Amino acid sequence: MKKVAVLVLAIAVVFSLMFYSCGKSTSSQDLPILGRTEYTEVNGKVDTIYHTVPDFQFVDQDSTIITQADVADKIYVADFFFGTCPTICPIMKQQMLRVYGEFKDNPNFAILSHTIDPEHDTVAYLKDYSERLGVVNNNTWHFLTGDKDKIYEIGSGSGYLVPVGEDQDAPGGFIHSGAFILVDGQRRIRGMYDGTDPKQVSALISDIPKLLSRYED
Amino acid sequence: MRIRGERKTEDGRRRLGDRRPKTEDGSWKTGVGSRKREDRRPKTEDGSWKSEVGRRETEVSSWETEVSSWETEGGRRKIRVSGLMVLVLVLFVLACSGKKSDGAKVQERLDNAEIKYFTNGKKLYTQHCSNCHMENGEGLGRLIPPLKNSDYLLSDIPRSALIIQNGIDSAITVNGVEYQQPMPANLSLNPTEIAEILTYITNAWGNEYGGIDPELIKEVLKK
Repeated sequence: MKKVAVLVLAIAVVFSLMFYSCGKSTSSQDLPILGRTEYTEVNGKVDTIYHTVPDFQFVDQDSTIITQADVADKIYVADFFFGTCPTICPIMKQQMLRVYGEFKDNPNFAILSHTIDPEHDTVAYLKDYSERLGVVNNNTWHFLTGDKDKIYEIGSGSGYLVPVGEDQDAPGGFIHSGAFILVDGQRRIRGMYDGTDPKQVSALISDIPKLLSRYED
Repeated sequence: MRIRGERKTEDGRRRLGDRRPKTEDGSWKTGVGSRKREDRRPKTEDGSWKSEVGRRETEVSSWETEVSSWETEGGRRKIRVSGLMVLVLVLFVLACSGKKSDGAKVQERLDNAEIKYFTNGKKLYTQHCSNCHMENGEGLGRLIPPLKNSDYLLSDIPRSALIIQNGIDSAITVNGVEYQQPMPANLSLNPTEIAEILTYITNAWGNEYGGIDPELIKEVLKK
């Protein structure tokens, strides 16, 4: 009997330790804030200025104008693609569908997929593209097109910190990153994930709730 | 009660004597002794908590903890636990045999030379095709057509060979669904490589076309 009691106690201790550690890891494990951080002195105090995504204005697959205001205070994932991309885009979209499937019903979550070939990828094309992909919830996943220079600008060092651009030598005529960029409610970049690597996308899927958790309070 | 108790001690002890070290060896990978087990537990957890990847392992090892401690309790529990383990084992074996029989089927269907084509084709597929048609051959929504169970692919192999080489710009209908996404040409692939890819995609994921004659593919691709 005594033995049994000791064992039960031991199991209880093990489990409580396990749960304690799990709870701790999700709440205290903060994601990094990426990009260049600057420090300025304001009234004798050092103020930290993080890299943030600048203002933008694009059009989504429903001709709705999407700006920073539409994702203000939301957690979102951004990426860059083009409709006729023969290389990494389909697998990126397959992986983004996993992310979408996981969080599509969360009002505090969004996905912004920017085309880097706006001449070809018109609103009508993107509408068809998104429907063929199986994206029905247009409030969550926006396929954005717009001014090409503005798209390249927001992809670059002043925005999402990824390489995008035209290149005659690249397959399909464009170079672009396969990154999924995780942005928090204050426009700060909190993670970069390789959208062609299912393992990294799994990491993204487990990181998103860390940012979303603050909405639960 | 008394009888059960007696049997338990007699039977149980003997079994315990035999099994305990074995079980603990298995799950803890270190020495024996019920007192030490408690000392070791936190250690195991420390080890597995070090990384995120390890969290899964934590669950597993804690499950093992339960199992091993139940086993020491005696006959009844032991039977239940071993029943569970047998079930898990059966599931594993089933899972493995499922894969094996799939591979075995391919081996039945193809001769040695064709199996070589199949294997090389798989490598080439990963390099040239799987970004769009996906590793599982299922394509992507209504954008990229599937190769798995694809009537379009399997009904006309020479046409499929030409599309792999030259790409396609026009819309095609696969299993009743229309696809419009253009496919790029693969002019770097030679006819043998295209035959290898075809051997792979027509015999993977449940496709059961059989061998592809490389001479026929060479003939088709000759302009």
